[in-house]
Amino acid sequence: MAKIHYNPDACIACNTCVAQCPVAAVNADFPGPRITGPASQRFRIMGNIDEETLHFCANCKNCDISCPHNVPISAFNMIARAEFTKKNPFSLRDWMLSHGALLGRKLGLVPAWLRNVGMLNPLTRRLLDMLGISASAPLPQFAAQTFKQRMRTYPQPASQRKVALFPGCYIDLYDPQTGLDLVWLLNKAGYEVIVPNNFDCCGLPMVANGFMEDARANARSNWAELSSWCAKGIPVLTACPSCNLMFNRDLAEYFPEIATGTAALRDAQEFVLECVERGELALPAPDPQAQPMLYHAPCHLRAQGLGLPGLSLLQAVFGKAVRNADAGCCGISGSYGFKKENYGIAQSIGQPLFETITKSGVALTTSECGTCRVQIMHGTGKPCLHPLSLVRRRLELQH
Amino acid sequence: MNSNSDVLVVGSGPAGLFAALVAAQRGKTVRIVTQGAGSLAICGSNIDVLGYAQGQRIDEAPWAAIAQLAPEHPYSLVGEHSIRSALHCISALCAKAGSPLSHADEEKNTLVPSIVGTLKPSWLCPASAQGNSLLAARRVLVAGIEGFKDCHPALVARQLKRYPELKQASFQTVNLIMPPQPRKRTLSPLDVARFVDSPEGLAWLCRSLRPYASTADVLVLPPVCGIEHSGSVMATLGKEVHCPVVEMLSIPPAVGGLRLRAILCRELAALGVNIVENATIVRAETAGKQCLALISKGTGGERRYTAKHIIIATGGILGGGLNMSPTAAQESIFGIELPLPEVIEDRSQEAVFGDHYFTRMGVQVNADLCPVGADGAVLFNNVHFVGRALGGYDYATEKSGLGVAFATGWAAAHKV
Amino acid sequence: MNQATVVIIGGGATGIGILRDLSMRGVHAVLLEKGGLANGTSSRFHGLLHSGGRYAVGDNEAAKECIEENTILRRVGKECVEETEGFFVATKHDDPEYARAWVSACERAGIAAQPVPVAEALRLEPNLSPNISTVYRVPDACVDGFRLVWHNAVSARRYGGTLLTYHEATGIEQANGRVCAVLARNCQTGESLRFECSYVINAAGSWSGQIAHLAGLDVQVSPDRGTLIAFNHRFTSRVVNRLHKSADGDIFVPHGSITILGTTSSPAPSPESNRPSSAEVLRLLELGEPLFPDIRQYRILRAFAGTRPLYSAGSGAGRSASRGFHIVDHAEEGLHGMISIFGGKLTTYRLMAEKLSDLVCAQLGVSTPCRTATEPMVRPPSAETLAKATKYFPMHSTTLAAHRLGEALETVVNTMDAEPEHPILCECEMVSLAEIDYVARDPDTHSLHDVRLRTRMGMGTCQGTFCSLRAIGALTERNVPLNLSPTEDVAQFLQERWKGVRPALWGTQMKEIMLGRAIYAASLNLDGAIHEQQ
Repeated sequence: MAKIHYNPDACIACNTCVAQCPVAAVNADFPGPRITGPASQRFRIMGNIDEETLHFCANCKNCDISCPHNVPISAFNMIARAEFTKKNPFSLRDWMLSHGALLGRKLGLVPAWLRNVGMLNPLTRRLLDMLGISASAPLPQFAAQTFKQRMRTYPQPASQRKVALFPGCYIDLYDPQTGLDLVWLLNKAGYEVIVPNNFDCCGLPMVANGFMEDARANARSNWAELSSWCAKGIPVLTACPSCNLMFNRDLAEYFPEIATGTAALRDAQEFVLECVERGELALPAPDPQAQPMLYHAPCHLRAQGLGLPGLSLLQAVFGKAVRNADAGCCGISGSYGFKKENYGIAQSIGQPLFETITKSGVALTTSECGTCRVQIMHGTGKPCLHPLSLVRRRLELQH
Repeated sequence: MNSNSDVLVVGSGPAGLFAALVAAQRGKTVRIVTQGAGSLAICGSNIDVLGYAQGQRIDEAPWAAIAQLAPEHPYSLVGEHSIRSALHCISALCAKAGSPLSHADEEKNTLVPSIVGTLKPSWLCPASAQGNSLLAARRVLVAGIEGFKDCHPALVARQLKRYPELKQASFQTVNLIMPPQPRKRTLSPLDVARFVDSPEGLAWLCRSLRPYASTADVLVLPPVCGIEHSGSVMATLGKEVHCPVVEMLSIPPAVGGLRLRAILCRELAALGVNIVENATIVRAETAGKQCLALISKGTGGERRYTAKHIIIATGGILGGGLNMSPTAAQESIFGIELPLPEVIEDRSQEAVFGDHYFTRMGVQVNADLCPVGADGAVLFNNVHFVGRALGGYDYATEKSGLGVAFATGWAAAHKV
Repeated sequence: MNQATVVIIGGGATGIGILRDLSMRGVHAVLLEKGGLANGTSSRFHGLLHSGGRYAVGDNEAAKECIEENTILRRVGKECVEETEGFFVATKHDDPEYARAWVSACERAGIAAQPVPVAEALRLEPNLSPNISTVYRVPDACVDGFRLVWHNAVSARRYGGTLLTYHEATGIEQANGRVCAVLARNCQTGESLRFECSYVINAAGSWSGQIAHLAGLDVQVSPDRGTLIAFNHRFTSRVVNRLHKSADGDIFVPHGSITILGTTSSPAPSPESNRPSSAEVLRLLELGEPLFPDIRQYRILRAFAGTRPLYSAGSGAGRSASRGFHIVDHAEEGLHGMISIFGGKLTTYRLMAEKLSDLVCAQLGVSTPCRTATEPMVRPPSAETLAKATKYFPMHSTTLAAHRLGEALETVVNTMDAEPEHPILCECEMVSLAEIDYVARDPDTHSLHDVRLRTRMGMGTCQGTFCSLRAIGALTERNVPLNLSPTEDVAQFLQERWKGVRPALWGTQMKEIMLGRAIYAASLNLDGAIHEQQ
């Protein structure tokens, strides 16, 4: 683990993060990121701290985004959570929520409809509720076939120009269509898409639930896989902001011994924009008839310092019809909002976003992050699609 | 990835956001790249112009004092017209957003109370401050909130009485009781302001203050009158309480600054200004006296931002725009060296509030706010510095922080 | 008219130790301290409870005293001691010959020095330089000097001892070759007092030359200044000494949440010469770098300096009690009843007090034996109080507060029990309002500075930026009769902190200073108000 994570020196207690923390804004028990992060860190080094409020942190990264001094605030919290998980009784619920990929694989033999019936029927939901997963939480439904399964038979024109795709658990298990939309766009830009078999879950849910060692194991194999593709000069893309954040930022913070070399996962939206720039993909002029829609910027995307390429893409094809909702965090933060004790917090955090969407009267919303989309649909009843899916629709419509 | 715009602004504090906004209003395409949420999250919403000069408090005529400032002072560089235009512009913006700012008098400073019972000369205040209504009052109510750790009315009243201006006033104090709510955190003004943003919170505040309207000429409160809806909160208080309300200046996390930030960000979004968050500029590409591009580090590699004009609003030491080591002081993007006395003790004075060298340290610029070297020659023609990255003034002592930020932001936006 | 058998001058560890020892033996003693408790050297050192390892080669006798006292203090003053253990670390550039001499000297002194494999040392202390070559483990520990003095004082009071802080000795009266009274001035009120007594103990440390002078005596005590650096976080969890011939900047001590590096040594013009210089700070960093290579990246909270009293024995009619400290009975110079104690170190304060008290008791004919080596200073809080306390001290365990407060924990917890809100005013060092309130009401507390020393309020990351004004507001609201005001007391508090930051004004701590200016000058206009409020 990087030494810097033990070093809280950069924090000057300016309280900027306290003002920007979505959890602290709606919950009066959470002392805020400065206290649980760098301030407590000084006492953690003494081995002298109870962590009674640490569980409130959603790992949404708004503290990191707002900090003017580059303090790794959320990393302090996640590392402390890992230590806490090590020393305290094991939560089956947290394990389940953070090992979705493994569960998905194990359940893979069971048909999706049966899995969905198994997981989402009222009885199971009551059982899950007893385990600590809120009965009201918008758990996503398993897709009939995973993205990887669909890709095995997906016809692609062969090309010398290749890209590899890291689908991430959400697209693979619950939302293969978004992945296929990306493949469609990449094919259109003249790329053949490879979906490597050896990638595992990026590990972010494990970190967020305190299973740092499991995350380390995934990081090790994922990084080796990523590096091998990058070494071949084949870019590896992902459409999921959280996976991208985990690979490109968190991995280096938590496991610097693993994240060596120059390998990098690429934001798929940014890559598609670059295809346009290079003239590989022609975008139609903005559609004057486009129906108005609101875009939600996932916190984990905002944390990456690469701007909002998905929004730029949307604006390129829909013009002023698409606007940034700019109404803060949706509240879900991965599996955080699924947990019984956090469900209410997550809904309160999302309220301003839900209201912005509802008041705007738009019929359609869009966001890159899978669980953000689930949360927005849950909070507003309006459909929420990945920007790439909308771009594909627009391009298809044009033909 | 390469991104181009007419104007690239680095930093999202008051100077950066405002420069971006004015440039966008003037029809430019603007992109902001920022690391962190800027200093508005920790400063108040009162816009100071100039409160002190040569150690003397300026109550009457800041403009005359501004005219007397040293030639290297940012105000001297941009001139009175820019300052007045900037203040007019921000006032109009706040009024449009429903949170108007007010003056004591067209040409005078207003004395605003703080949570430690001091008075500060300021220029534009939230409408709630209602000019110098505190100084005009004979009966002052200082209200706190039960359970606050940052503001204690007994202290405020005792300290305010020590001002000759308030000798004649009588003070009463009260701690308002928030509706009970289970919580482990100690309340801050931010918590209460968020509560007051809600209809039930506003009703509570009106209900709590109304009984004092008949026994006081002015109600002095911590900054709790809402954030997102502060304009309508103030308006409702005016209608329901029938007594002028003055908000005190407080410590971070800042309610007032968050109001201004919300207004600026909303307007920027409406103007289509792109903000790249959590991105640190790691270096500049330059050719002669031109800056060609700034390179940022984000996930998955570097990104290159090109623009015809670049506005640097990275702040001073506090914001990270200037860095200081034992041996050198440097501007953080271009590495512009700032002159520095060799002996560390010579950079400051023994008295904590003394006239320190380090507090005025910053980038030297010409009238176009372009950086100049020690010999006075321009370093980059298309780079403009705004806000606290500039040298030649000590905003904390002279109380000119937001004034300089907005004035230089406005001026830079008119150079592009 | 005030009367006592013994008047002790000097409220550092030695003086308070004597007050406690004499009081426990039934001797009526009064202690006069011109400032707050431990405001001299006892709170201006690195906080190391020596194992004796540091002295083993140069002064084996002193090393023996250290290890004995170290063992005793862990028992009787455990609230003040953190049992961290210590490393002696040699780099590849240090003389291996010295290490060999050191090992055998430790053995002679009875100090357990165990070799530690370098890899194991690096695992335990990952911030240590990978270029170290030899590591030994010794029973060093950390001691909070101020807390030690305070708990001694509380105990002394329980036995009838009288402690008067902010009382400066202004004269020593003598008649027929015997001291008969001490004149003093109450520094708060200006009132003059006279204490009739049979004995005067000069335990004024660096100031002891001045005190001796009051009695017309001349002793050779010269203050020697040591500067230290306090870092923002605990980058070592053990004491780390460099295994070489004792020199400047070779001791790192984890002290609660911070780390202290010391010290320098240079002759000081006066005992008050405690302003650190930037040259000393830079020199310390340079000296510390071989052990902790990242040291320049660690944030300096402040630098501080204290003066050690260097006594030139032999110049007076001194009698050496040991090579570590000196007790001088001035009877040999013709003044009976006047005894001075010089030198020593905080680790051996108890032994010094014992030896001096033995001497006084022998002259008084008091035969009660010394009990300070066996009787704990603090009576431990009840299980019930501890259980209650855990409800109110969030974020860190109750232990820190319990150790600070000693027996007062019960009072503080009961206050918290009776109140609906339990705010933490100092979020950096996690100090509650209830504790601050309790300490502020103590008759010996006269300033925010006194509150700071006892509670650690304002000693963390923000160095009082947030908590000093909070404390003043809350104490005013609660009618604590300290009469604190922002324009005087916060300003003074900030001034004191500034003194420590000024010689290290760079990096992150400079940002912190800028934040403080943004709050106090730009937002609150405290700087202007100082001149405008009447």
